[in-house]
Amino acid sequence: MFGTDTDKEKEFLKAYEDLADSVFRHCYFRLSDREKAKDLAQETFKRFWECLGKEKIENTKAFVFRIANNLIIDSYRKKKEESLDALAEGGFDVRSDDHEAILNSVMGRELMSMLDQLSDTYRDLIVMRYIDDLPIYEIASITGLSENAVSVRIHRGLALLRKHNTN
Amino acid sequence: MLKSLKQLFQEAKSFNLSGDEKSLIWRELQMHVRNDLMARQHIYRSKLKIIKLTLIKPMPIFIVILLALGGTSFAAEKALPGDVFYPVKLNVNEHVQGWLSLSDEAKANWETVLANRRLSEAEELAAHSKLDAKTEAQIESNFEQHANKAQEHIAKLANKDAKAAADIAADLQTSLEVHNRILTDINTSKDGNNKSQLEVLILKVGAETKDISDDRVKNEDEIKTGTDIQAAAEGRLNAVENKLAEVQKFVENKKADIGTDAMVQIQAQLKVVADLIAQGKVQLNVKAYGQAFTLFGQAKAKAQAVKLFIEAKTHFEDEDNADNNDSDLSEDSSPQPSVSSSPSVFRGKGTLRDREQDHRGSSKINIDIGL
Repeated sequence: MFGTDTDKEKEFLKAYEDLADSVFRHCYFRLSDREKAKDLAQETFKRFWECLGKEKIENTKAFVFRIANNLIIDSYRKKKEESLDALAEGGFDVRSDDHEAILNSVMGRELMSMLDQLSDTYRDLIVMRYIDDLPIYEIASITGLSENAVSVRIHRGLALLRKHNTN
Repeated sequence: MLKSLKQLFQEAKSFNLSGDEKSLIWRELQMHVRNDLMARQHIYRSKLKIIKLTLIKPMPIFIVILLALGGTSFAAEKALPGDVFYPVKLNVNEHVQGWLSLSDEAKANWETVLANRRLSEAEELAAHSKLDAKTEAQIESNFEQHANKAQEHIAKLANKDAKAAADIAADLQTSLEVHNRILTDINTSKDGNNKSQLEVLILKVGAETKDISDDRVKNEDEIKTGTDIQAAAEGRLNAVENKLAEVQKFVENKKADIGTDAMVQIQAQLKVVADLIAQGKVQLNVKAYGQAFTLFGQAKAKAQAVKLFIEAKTHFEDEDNADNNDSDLSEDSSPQPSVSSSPSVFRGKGTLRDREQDHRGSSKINIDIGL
């Protein structure tokens, strides 16, 4: 029992060190809300801890991103219940005096405003492909889409982004 | 100017959690993990309790109280290999505490503490003739792991903060040297199997000490040729003066427990420390910073060694006297109730009474402070 726990803790610590930033970034660019992104990143790792030792995990990164993806989809469902006004206010809110965090949020703002104009269908895949650097087959595995569908959507999403960027 | 999508994606990839945010989330996760581990430990403890109640004789009252108060984790803190709570100490207490160490410096310090703990456990068992081959192998392997991990973190830290790395390496080396001497002193008082087990461990500690010493010397040589050597030397002066004051206060507090002969030895050693500091200051004044840095390092190591020796001396020799007193009393008094009525699984190898009984008859342990 204890030997297993030790391995589990080591794997958990390594996953956090390796993936905390990228999971947070993923959540942020899909939700446009820093606070929610932090909450979801934390929740992702909690769920990951609970799955460790219970499920066979071959690719930790893909597994963690799948958890994050599911949590984000849940969050989208809740989001639809909120008013558009509240969403607009929530956009780039940084509720802290953390200067590093404020600077960070300004940096991604330009891209975020363009991503905000995409539907979730395209946005999610663009974030996974070009911000998280996930290969097509992993995105397909995370989202449950075929590799072909992923490629087509990414292609269309990029075309829309280019259009927004030129405008 | 309009940025390309490629530039925007590139920028986005450097969007990270701030250091504070990352630590805060980590702390929350630690709490979650800790609660989870404690919950499972509780289940394990409950199962154990059922086994004891159904299969074995009634538990001693103090164990019942500990379980009832949920004090397993607390009780485990002083457990030794062979005690029923020892796995809790290693796998719950130390793991949970270890998780609080995020930086390489904190990790190196923590691994140093654990390496020293393993040796203290070996000393405690050996002093009571309880160090068998299996336990020795277990302790030796754990000690080696912690010493190696400490070295790894020290090496990583050296790339960022060479001075902090050198200080931790010096502390680790000093404590291992002291443990080696204590183990040797205990070994001198033993014979038979316990002696051969200790010799194996002493060799291992010696080898690890040499590795750490080699790395430390290399690291310090780099500091001496660096541009910050003046600041490093002045920093060490400050540290060694604080250390000396700390040890002097410690000696004052322990005065009553230290014999006259030992006190003379201690004062002589502290005089050597003061002399080394004075020599270092002379070197500092003539801007021989590298030399000053080395002398202050030697002074700090010696001061620390004096403190560790006093701790060991008062611990082992007091216990020795207490055992002898106990022995004297039992000759005159009526027979005492047998301790063997307590279930052996809870007594393990290490209840105080067990250790006292085992210690009787063995030669007196003499910890030599002469450094």
